[in-house]
Amino acid sequence: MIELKDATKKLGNFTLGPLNVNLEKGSYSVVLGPSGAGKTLFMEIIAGLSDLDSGTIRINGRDALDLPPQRRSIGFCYQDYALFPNMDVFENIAFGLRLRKHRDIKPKVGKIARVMGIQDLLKRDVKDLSGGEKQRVALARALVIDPDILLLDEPLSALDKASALQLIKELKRIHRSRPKLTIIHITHDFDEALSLAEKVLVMNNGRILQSGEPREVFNKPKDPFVASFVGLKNIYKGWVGSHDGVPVFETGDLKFRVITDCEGDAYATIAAHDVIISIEPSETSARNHFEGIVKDMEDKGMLMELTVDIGVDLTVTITKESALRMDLHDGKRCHVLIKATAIHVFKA
Amino acid sequence: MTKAKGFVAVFIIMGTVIVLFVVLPIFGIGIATPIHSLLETARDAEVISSIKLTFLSGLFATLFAVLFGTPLAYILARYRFPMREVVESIIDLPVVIPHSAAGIALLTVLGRNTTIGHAFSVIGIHFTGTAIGITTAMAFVSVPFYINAAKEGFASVDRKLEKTAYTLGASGSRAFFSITLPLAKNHLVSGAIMMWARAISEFGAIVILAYHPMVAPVLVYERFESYGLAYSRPVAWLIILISLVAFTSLRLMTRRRRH
Repeated sequence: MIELKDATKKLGNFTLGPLNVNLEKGSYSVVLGPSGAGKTLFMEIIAGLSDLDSGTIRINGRDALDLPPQRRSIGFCYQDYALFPNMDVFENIAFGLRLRKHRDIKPKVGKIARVMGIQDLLKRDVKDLSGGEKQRVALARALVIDPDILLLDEPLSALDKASALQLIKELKRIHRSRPKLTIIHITHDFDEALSLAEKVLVMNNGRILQSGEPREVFNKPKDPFVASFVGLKNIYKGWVGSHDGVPVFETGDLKFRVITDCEGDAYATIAAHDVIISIEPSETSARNHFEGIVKDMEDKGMLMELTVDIGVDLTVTITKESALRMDLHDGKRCHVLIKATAIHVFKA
Repeated sequence: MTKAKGFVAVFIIMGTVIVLFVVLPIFGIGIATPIHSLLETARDAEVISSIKLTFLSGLFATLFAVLFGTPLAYILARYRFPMREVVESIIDLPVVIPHSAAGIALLTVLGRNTTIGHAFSVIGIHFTGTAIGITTAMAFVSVPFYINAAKEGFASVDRKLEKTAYTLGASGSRAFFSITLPLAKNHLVSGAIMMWARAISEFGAIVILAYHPMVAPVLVYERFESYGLAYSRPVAWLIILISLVAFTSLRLMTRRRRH
């Protein structure tokens, strides 16, 4: 388990924290945030490569504040892999074992190389490897010493799509096969987080804005930054009032029937796939009903992304099939239905 | 395109002037020196011993800089600390001060009657008129060449490689010796060669601290002063030749290792 309490670190003009983080042993956490959010510094603090200015850090129940990186049992994979260019693949992987004066270095390196599918590369110079191969070597080098914690800094960002998908599979397999290994993975890509994370920590400007299960963070962001970062298109600022005793979110001239405990200034988000479009007005269980005009249509492969003007711009995704059947086009009038439960409201 | 061609042509002509400017004197001294007098000079005991003295003193000066300068270069490349730029400027000083003035400065602190000079003389080390003095003067004027090259070499090694080594269990010194040093090696070697070349060509500081025993540049000067151009020329040509051969072969050796 990794536990940070009120942890802060100043680096020039940048301040990280105060951070309060709890990561379960054996969990897969993804730290999500734009570049410059402080994600790498966060990782380096866990690794002991950077000292805290204040606060505490505990790893597996032990105070780790003064524990040097050599004794934290950590595997660290940097974004650009940081393979040692003066050594071949075998020597890179064997590096940590040699320091531990392991016997059986050869079989151990051979075993992890087979697991990572790089057994044929062992004699190769690291400069001659592809990005995906380098990433596997870096992972093998980190995993061969059997660490308690694996830190991955943007592991997929430099890979082409096919290699990235392959590596996601690989990471899932590593997570499954090592139930005690705590994995922390940095990314700026929400889809990557969704496919791997058990827990997501959204970070910006040195702070963790929200953490939780990825679905929950996506569906119920607590902050406009989180909402836009996880890819929500419909974020509205307004205020929550009461209408006949039921809560209503107002933005401009629009009123949305919502379910919330919030009052006063607030934000509302609506997931684009939770909106229903119809041509004829129809009686449904949806509490919010607007008339709108299709302003824009964007082809997204299987899906069609519409921008509908209902007084504010609302992004809606529907299948291409539906768009064709309803003969939707720019300027077409339509009806928009949104369930009160599909609108997520949080305090401004 | 025509315009660019004319532009490049002008640059080539200007560049040629510089190349000729360097090559002509060296070519000229070679032509002006009869081969028999060159061979005669190469057998001259005084010349041989002064060349030996020059090269060895330069070597020791360089070894001294490698031993003590490498850690400094590493610290300058890796850490930001107050006064860092001051330290860097101090290291560069020998390049900008006239070398005769450097010699006077060295003599002022290391001469027989100075505190430091006296302290060293107790353990049998004298700086004036000795090979140690020559080595000291050479080290003083040429050390920036090594430090700056080494600093650049260490700066070129990605900090993340060291950090990764730490997480894999390497101590600071282990990471330095198995990752950083091997990766900076080419810079260090080429810096050492540059320093050595600069050291063996030193005249100004040496002539003040230790006229005797005579290093090759001082010998050339002395023969010129005492006997004139014709008599000093073969010595000068011989030293130029040896320096060229030594420098070129060292360069070639390191280049081959790089590939």
